[in-house]
Amino acid sequence: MNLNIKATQANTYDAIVVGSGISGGYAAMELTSKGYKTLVLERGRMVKHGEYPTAHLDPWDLKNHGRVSAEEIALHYFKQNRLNWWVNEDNKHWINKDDEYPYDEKKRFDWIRGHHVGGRSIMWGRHCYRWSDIDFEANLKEGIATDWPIRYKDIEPWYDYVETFVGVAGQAEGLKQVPDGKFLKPFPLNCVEEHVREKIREKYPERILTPGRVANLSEYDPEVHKGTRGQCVARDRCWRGCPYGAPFCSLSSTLVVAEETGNLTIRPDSIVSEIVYDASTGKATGVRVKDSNTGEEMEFFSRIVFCNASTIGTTAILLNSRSDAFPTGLGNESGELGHNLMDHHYGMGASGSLPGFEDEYYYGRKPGGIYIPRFRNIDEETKQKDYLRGFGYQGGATRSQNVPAGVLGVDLKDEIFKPGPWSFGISCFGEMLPYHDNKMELNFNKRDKHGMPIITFDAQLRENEKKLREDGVRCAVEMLEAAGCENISSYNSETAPGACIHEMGTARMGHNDQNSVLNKWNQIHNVPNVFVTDGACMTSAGTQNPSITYMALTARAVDYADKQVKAGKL
Amino acid sequence: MNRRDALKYVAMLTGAAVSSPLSASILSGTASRFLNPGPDYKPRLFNNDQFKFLTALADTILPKTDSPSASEVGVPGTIDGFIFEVYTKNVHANILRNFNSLMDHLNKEVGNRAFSSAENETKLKALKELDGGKNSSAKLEYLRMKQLIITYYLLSEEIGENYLNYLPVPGYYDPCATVESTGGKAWSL
Repeated sequence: MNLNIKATQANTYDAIVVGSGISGGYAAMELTSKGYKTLVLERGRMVKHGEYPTAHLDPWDLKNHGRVSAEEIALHYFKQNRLNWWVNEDNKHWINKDDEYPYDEKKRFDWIRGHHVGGRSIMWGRHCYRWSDIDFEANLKEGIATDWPIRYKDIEPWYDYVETFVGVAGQAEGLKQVPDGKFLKPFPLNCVEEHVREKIREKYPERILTPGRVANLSEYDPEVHKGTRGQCVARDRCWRGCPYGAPFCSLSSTLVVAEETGNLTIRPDSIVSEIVYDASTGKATGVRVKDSNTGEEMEFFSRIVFCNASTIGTTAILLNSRSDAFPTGLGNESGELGHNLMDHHYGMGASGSLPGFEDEYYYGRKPGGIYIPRFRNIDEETKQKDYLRGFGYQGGATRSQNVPAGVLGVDLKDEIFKPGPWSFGISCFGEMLPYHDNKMELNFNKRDKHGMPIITFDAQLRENEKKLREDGVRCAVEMLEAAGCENISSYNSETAPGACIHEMGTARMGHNDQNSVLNKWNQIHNVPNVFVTDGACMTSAGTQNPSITYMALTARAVDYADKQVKAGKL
Repeated sequence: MNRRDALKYVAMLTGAAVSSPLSASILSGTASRFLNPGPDYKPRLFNNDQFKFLTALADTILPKTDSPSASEVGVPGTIDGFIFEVYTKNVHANILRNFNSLMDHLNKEVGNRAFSSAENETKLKALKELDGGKNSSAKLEYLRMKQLIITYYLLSEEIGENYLNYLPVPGYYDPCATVESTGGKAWSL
């Protein structure tokens, strides 16, 4: 009896955070900074800042210049590499092996994961755009899915708060669809991008080409950018893990700050199988965990649980947390848990060459290209007849190889060391509506090597997305033409959901337990000490890259939880 | 989705160059220095005749001047090793079929003998005719190989570090540098 109490005490914390990626790291920092003894559970292996084995390798240092052999792809990355570009020698150690982490698909779903401390905050694209009321009001105005329970004013101060800490380089544009934030100086447009910006704006005043707003420290202030951060040195190798700490990543920022408080315990190799619910208190008591190395099962207890295991991971845990009170999964009174699975979709855009500018060049490799925020369906004037929502673009201008046609031999040797002609390209990222029928489920009759039920995906792009894509390509070509591009080529090859690695939804926020899983504080409606602040909480997908919104919602939810605890309500 | 599209996605996500063949090939790793192929390299995809042809093709396109020739920096071996490792057997068959038809075409052009045995002038003339000629399957394959040869050449360590502007740690970003300020040379990375 005594022993049990001792063991329980040893496994008891003020707060548990499931997951150490971009939102889990943020939850850990906020909780530990407020004095909560916090346990972070990460199902993958331990990684510490600086442990980036490929950070300094040049293309010729990598086997097959970075491409993974067909044999290895077939053995380990047969789903992860259906994206074709994703698995490379420089990043494959951050990518789950498909043979070890199986999942099923009724329709193709590219579930791209990396199980290790820091999660995908190591490899993320780092673009950060605020949502606006155009996004938060869209579901209500259009009668789609369910209404967001928050508006821009609710999250605005939290964007300020997280952007300041994260460090977002960007340029203020005064746009209602992507409100300006707390920006560090941008990585500016190069001469040709500047030219393209002006040419597009002359013809299409509502289409604004701006420097990508990226979480890379163009200016470093150690007082603000705490942890082990540093100034960007323009190498553009962020996704390998940056030894300089310039890109925002859990490993160099939030987890370091959390560690310094003395309140953090981080436990890698810990698979959370479920959140344990106590009907007598109406709250969760903690989580059940399996050690992925030893197979040992254990329970951890806490006053608050933050579930940040990434969209799919979080919802899988909730669906697996079944009790008499919640027979189909924790917080699933609405039946929406696992549904409304979203992503952004891409694979459409245009590129071309741009004559002239022979004397112009650039120095260094900026860590983000350009961004053209959404300009469709943002007001009455821009309303489209055949589809809802919109799309944004990323891309940029660079000088390509200098290989003049017909020049060969000695003459060619004189040419190929020079910078070649300018090319400009943009790729379109579209919004995907929240459809109840786009879903993930657990197959309790089929389990992985850790005994966890296998996830089955059943989601697809539908009519609205297809219409939107056509317009996205059309507008891309129009803009390249306006810019004076030649040899314009466009493309539209549909990507599967998941491929954009912006998976969202499945435990959405809403006004009540009949239409949603979470309330406006990211709290499970009827389980007030469980918070979900990763992509699972999203009620719609927007066109913006979502991570900064997860971080803002996380900081906001921790602040709320803390106030509730202090008020004796949690 | 095809490779060209895929490259664009990479460029997007990494914020790197868009549709720049050089950057694209870095990102996709279309080039290789598999085991740093030297003069003793034993081809694994191509047979000896094919490899000899590839070497002659590469060195006609990029001969030795005050900078190394394509074969001196291991380009033929790089191509052989890369295709062998990175593509599946099915793709190999396709590549070899196209490659053989180019080889047959050029062997014929230089007088029904091995392209590699022809004089430099003759080889260069045959390639120029193909390069400037009207579209054909031989021309398409030639342009593809030419692109690979140039890309692998520029991505070899010797060329990348010594003949292009090699700067692994730029330190900062300047959006509008002049070509003059970089000595008229392209960036290596």
